[in-house]
Amino acid sequence: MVATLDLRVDLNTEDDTGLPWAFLRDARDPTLVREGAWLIVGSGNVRAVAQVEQIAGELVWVRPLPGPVSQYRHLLGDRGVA
Amino acid sequence: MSPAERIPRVRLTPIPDDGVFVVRGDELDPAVLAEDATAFRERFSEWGRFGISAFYAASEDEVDAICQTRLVRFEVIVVFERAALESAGIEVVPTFRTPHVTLCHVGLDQLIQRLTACDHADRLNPYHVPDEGDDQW
Repeated sequence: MVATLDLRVDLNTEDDTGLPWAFLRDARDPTLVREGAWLIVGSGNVRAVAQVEQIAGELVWVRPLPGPVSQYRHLLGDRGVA
Repeated sequence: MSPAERIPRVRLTPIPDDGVFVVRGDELDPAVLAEDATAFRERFSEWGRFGISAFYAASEDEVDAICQTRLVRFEVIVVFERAALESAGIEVVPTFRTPHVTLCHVGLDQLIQRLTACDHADRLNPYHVPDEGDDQW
């Protein structure tokens, strides 16, 4: 089973921030997306835990962590409980 | 967004001649690629192209380094030869920070069809750590 996405992000993307970006509308629940929040992000077959770095209008930038989602479940609050 | 932000920053320095490989994370799923290309087109609406993010590499050692860093979250990566992409009619544009590139075309269907039909190699990323807790999610 693949972890449920909080925010669809193509983790290949970057811009001059050096960070992947996405549209806020691609969040499962936009209320989860706030600066500093930890989310499960990705698209296709990839998932990662990432921190929301910045929100500007409809755009969201995230800073993904390098390891598997399960390594960071403690950062996800109730959503990280198995 | 300001008008400037509706156009991606194209680096003044072109991709070096030895930048022969183009690497992207994940298998080439047309539906996923179409979503990504459409998001790019919407964000950079003044540029008039659909785009897919990738990275160039000059050698297998550089492909390896990209696997270990920027693409470490991907279990599978795809590797193209840059010349093959360009022969297929896909622009390979140096955008944002080195070694990022955008694979682009003015038409969405053309971009996806040409990209998925272009010769490429699917490879397992040796640096990817699988999620041992997958069954708990």
